Amino acid sequence: MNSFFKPSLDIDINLDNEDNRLCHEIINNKKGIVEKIPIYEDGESISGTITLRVRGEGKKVEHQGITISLIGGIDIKDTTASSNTFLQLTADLFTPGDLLNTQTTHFNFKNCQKQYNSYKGSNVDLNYYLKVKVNLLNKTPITKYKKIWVNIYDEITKLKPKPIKLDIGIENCLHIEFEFGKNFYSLNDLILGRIYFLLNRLKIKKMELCLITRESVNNSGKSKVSESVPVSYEIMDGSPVKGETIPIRLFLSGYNLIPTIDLGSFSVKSYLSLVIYDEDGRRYFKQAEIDMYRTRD
Amino acid sequence: MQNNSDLIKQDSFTIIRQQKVLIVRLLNEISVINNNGSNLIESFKHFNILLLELKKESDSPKEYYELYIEVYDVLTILLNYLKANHLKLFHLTDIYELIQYSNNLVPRLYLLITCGVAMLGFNTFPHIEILKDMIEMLNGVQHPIKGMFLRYYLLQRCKFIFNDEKKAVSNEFKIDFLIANFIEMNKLWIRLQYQGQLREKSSKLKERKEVELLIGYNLVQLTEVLDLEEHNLSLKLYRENTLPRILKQVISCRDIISQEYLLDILFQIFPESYHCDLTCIDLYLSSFLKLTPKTNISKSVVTLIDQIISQADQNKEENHKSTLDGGILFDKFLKFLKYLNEERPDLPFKDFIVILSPLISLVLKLIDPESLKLRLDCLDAVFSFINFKKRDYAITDEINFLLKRVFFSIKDFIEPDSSLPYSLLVECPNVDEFLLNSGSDFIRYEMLDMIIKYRIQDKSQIPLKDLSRLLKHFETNSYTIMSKSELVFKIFYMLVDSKVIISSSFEQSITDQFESLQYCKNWVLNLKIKYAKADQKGKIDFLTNGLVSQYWRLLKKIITLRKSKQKKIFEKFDKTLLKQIFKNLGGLIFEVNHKKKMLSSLVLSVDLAIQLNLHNVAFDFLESILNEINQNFDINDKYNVLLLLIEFLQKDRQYFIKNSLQDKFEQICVKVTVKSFEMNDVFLKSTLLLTCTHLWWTSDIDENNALKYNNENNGKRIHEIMNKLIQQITSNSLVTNYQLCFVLIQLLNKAIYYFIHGEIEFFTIQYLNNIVKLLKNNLKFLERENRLYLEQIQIVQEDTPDKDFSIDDLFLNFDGEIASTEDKEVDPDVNLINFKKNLLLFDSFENIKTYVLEQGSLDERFNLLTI
Repeated sequence: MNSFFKPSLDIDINLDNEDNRLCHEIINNKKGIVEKIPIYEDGESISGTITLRVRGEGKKVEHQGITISLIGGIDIKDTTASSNTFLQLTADLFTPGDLLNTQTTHFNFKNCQKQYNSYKGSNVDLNYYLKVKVNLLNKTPITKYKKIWVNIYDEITKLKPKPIKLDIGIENCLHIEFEFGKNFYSLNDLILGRIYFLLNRLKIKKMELCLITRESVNNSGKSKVSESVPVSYEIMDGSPVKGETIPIRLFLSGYNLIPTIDLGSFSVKSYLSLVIYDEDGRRYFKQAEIDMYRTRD
Repeated sequence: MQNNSDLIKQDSFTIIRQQKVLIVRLLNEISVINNNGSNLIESFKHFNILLLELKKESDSPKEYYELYIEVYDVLTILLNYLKANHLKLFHLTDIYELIQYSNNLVPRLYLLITCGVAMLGFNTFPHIEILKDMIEMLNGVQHPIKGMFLRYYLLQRCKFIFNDEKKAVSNEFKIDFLIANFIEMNKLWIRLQYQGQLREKSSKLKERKEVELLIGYNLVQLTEVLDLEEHNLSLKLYRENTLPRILKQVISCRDIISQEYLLDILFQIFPESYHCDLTCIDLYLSSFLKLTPKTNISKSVVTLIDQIISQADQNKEENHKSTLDGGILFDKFLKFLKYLNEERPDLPFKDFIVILSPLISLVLKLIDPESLKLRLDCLDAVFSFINFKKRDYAITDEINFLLKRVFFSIKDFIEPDSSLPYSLLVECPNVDEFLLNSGSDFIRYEMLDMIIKYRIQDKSQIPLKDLSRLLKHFETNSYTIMSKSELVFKIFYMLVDSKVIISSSFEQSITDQFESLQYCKNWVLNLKIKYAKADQKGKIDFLTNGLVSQYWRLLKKIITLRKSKQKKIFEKFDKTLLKQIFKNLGGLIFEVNHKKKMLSSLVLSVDLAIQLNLHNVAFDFLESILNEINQNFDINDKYNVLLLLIEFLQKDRQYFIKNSLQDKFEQICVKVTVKSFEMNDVFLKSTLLLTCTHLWWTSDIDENNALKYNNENNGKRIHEIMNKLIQQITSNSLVTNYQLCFVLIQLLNKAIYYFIHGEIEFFTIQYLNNIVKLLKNNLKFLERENRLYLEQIQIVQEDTPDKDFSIDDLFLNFDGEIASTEDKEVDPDVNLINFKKNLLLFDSFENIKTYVLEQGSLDERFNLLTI
């Protein structure tokens, strides 16, 4: 029954060298599948082959022109507002005419600019995709989409790192200083630091270093914030006395971290958070913002 | 509660064992598919689960240790796997990073160390960097038990690095590494005291004791590192690098248990030779001063000294020349004591005292006896310190006991012939003071005993200058003098040199010794005044007598001189000195309370005076004796003294006659006879008087062994005395027949003696016959008494057992009583005794009869006696 409504045309989008291309994996727990999206960089050409196959022996499809577009846009969930598109490149594949049997054509968005990193968050996504559109006379066009994942590599060698030094305390109870080597990190970086205990009258059970990713969306004046904690790493067990120094060393490359994004409509930021748990279950914490970059090394 | 924790423990063991099974399965499966090491990565999951058991808090260190052992076992599997498959399946650098993704600290660090240690097995990895990284990362564990065991794990695993002789890692680095680990572990150990629930202090202590070995393990590794070097270099490393840092931690940790334990094992673990290094000793001592107030300093000091002594012993055994200079060492310790005294006024006295015994042992063991003579100040200083400290403390029994031990530590070292005790007393004023003020007489006695024993062996005299020091110790209380008079006696004995060396300095030596005697005389006299009342047992008399005999010894030495070939020296001898000695002696003898002793001493002194040709002195003494013999005097003593005097006079009779002193002598003899007549007891009187008769008679034997008549003999006087005696006893109605017969038999004996010896003027046959007649008449009465007694016995004999009438082995004493040559029991029956006495008299008379008859064949005169 469905076949009646099926479009009379099958469209396949095949990217060049797709099998060997690195893919971004999105685990969809509901469906129990892993979605693989090929990864592209900024300025990298996106090329491929479009295969159009007319269904039924000897049939033909009369069309008003076939185009392919590369689209980048921000989708904010739970809003009616249409996607905020920041990129749209379109190329004609076929001029209006008839399609018979199977036709293949090649496309190439040569050295196209991709401004932002792809992002998939809880309230907002930043998506890139290819769209093939077959315009029909007096009919809704037949479309086909293919997702593209964009990773932007930052050049940070020129950035000067500043150490993060923070001094926190509760009067007559706890006084610690902590120090991280840098205020920005690459995604496969190593966080090094130290914590000095200047005073401790708490009965500390343990201390953890967490990396928090905070996504905040600005939607017509309303802002929505959501946090995730991709890293939670125990760095101290037991209660130190004054004068103790606790080392910090955290390898980041094993975690799925996201580079910092700061756009008008939404931002994704990372924070290092030090959490102290005392014996009575209380928690004490202090956060410091860090910038995350994706680098090429 | 207990059950609950047992369950938890069992759960932990179950988890560990289950994970172990899984791990073994994964790591043993070397399949082609998994050649990229993914099995290893898989196994880390299980290691994490397993290691979480060590992240849990355990009830006690002991339980935690049990878990640790199990885990250690499983980690060994990992270690071996990592070492075996490096470069085959994976690169250890990657694993080292990979491991660090583990979220939990304790499991992560166990894995980190295991992997790090695997890397240390390959020379391609930078050893020092790996070791540094591991030890740095361990700082994250601040929990005492977990931290200590992790660090212990590190030590256990890295042992092969410390023992490595190839020095892939320099020994200096190893030392740094171990000390850093030691310091952190010690801090954790101390924290154990304050961590967790507030439990009883004692259970906390118990917990700490359970894990103290973990700390010590660091030091054990340190010695192994030092052992890799030559001795000189290792000592240098210990002295300059290791010890100062350990001690710094000991001081700064300010924890009693830790300080005591660490100082204890420090001495146990490192070799003695290290501790004996002078610089090290300085380091130890200066750090002892800085210990926490309640820490037991003295124990450590004592241990240190013991180590030095033990090293010295070892040197001696192995015949090494000891480089340990007892004097220098002592000075160091003394200085330390003084500092300690200044810096730590809070320390109890006994903490100081316990150091002193070993210190004394140090001096005595490390300074040879010859050198010690020059370093007596060491021992003096010890007692100076005691005397000084004693002023500030109440002296309890415990303190006294400890002080006694200090003193005995000297005693234990003293050889029987050592002059040390004597030198100590004489040359060390503080030893002297200590003894004088010591609450325990016992110490003093021991000391004096030792001194005196030595001096007796040495046979040398005690010089005057030392005398007061010695005698002072006996004056302190009446008890001392009363109970230890033998010791004083021995001192007196040593005042006079036993050797007689006749030389030009003879007179001087006599003068010196006489001065000592004089000193003692005054001392004794003072003593008498002071303690007369307390002296119940006559101990002071005993001493006085003792001193008297020393005077005699001195005089006898002079007599020896006089009799020797070197008479000239004697002739030059100062006669006033001699007189002085006698004067002193006389004065002393008069202080004797016991009259008999006093008089006997006087008599003996007279003899000495005669031997030294001092007649005036002799007569003075004799006069005093006669003055002293008066009525209020025990009759037996009087008898004894008179008898002694008579015998003496008799012996020296010829001397007086030769020196034309007959008149004076005669006077004395008359006085003695008069005194003898004054005796109340018939028997004693007759014995004395009959002895007195010899004062006028000397029997000499000429060259032909024949009796020689002496012109000085005075038969008339003898006859007078005898007659007077007969007259007195026959006229006295109180004299019994028995007494009369007894005296007459004696008298007859004596008369026969003079008769034989040629007295013909007074001792005529007539005279003797008269005595015999008198005797026979009186004997008849006794015969009758005996007859009556026998008749009486026969009447009652039927119901009485046979009586022993035998007089075998019995004889009559001078006091007329029966004596036996054997210890026969005397029948208490007075009648029987009298019967026997009579029998014995008859027997004596029969003996005389037999004698007279036998003599008849030799001397015709005897045939004329009518017996």
